[in-house]
Amino acid sequence: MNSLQIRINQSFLDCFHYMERLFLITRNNELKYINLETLFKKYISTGEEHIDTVLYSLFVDNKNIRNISEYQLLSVWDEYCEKPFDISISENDLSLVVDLGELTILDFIMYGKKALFGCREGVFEIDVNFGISLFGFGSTLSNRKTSKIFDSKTIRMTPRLGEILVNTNSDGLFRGSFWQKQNHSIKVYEKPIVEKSLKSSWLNNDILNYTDDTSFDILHNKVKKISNEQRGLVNFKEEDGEYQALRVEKMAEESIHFDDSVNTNVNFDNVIYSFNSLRNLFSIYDDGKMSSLSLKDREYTGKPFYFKEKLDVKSQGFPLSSHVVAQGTIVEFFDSVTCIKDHKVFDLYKGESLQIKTYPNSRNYQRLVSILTEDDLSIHCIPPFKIK
Amino acid sequence: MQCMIPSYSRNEDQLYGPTEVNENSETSKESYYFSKPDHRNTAKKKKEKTRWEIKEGQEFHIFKIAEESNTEIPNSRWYCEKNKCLFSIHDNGKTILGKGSERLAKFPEPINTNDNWHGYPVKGKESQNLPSEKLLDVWKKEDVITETTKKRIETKRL
Repeated sequence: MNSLQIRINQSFLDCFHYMERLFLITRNNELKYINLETLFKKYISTGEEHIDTVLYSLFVDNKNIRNISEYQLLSVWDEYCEKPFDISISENDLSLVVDLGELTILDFIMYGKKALFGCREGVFEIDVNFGISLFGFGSTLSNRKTSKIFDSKTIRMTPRLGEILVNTNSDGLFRGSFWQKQNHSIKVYEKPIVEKSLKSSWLNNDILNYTDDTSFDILHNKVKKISNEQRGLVNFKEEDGEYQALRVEKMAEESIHFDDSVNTNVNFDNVIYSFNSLRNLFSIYDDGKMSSLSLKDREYTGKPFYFKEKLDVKSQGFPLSSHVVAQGTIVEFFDSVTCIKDHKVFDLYKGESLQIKTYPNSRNYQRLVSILTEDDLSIHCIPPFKIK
Repeated sequence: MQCMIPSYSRNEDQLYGPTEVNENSETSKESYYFSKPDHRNTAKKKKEKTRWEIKEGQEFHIFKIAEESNTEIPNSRWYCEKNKCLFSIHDNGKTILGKGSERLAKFPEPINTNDNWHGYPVKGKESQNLPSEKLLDVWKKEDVITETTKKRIETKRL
């Protein structure tokens, strides 16, 4: 097994790692959270300080990894990679944030100290910017209510640069912006960025808009540098990954349809699924091969790099979804979740997954993969070292 | 996968059917199904035409389970009012129906009521190929699909 794993044997609808907490949407449609320190001390701690330090760094405080020797890391990894931490969280350790009532949640993210819910009924937000009081609160949070900020049924939200790409059920891609002068609520513009969008993701400061599993356009954004004072309008957290002070001045000012006329080194005929990280385009081919093409600095004519191992698309079918983690990618198939890292392909989970979450922009959670099923939630940590 | 789906034979008119009539349903009637050659797996690959992975005789079964009402529930065919078609799914979506890994099938409602039905495999990636919320709720309630499959369809993953 190439991951460390915490398996919470309780059923949740969705989850998100944010602000040193694990936020969970319960079966009663309530947003709750457990402090990750509590989770560790009470449920994961082995009682041996040197082991606990490594585990804590891997799952909670990834920045601290650099202070741990490779020997120490590998010894803990070898000991625990075959032994998931099987736990059940006591109700007493879960704190209520908000009751979501009858909303049917299709996506849940946290960004800019807000929780955002993509629902059948539209997009809803709630501030989690409570400062110190958040961490020692009692009643105030549970009295909060969600605010509706968008009417259309929303299936996916992707934040960056204080903007949110909102994918709706009716095929359009919409822009949500944190940069409001009047208040701290997000504004979702009524006019779509593009009329047709299956999924969308950020390519550095630009957008890749996929019209189907293999076709996409690159939407160039004009960005400008802003001062730290201006940046303070949005409550970014370290987990949001907004290390540069940038703001989108003009969204989608230019659109490039990416096909083999743009890059003559890629044969798109045999590609069955495409996805991207902030810098690379990943293509999965009908024979299970996978390639990576650097699209850094708007340079689109490079040569793809082919991974050594293949995905088993013959028996598993085409991918259903894809995700990015630090130095790796995650592909969801009908009845498995697969990780591709260091040329190796390995299953993280065998079975059908309700939802998968990764946090590639978060310094602390960039190696984590949360896999929700109808029965449990498993949190996997991908190795911070090269797999041999 | 394919062996799990019953297979049927064409009649002398080269059609499949008829489907069974549900006596308890006012809208239930005999329907016939025609397998269109341009959607068969032997047809030439075209981007705009999906092709069946399953055998021709099995296509009718996928149509039949969508068209035939549950005798205990009136008007329970898998009809999607929003897209004016029947949608179908087999074994909670485990069965791959199309050569492009499609796990859903779409049967557009014939323009004339006496016309034969036809259909093809689809991915629920565009709204016209996506079963309505109402149909997904019916499928979930009748245990046609699990909560996971429902969410996968609704979030355009399947």
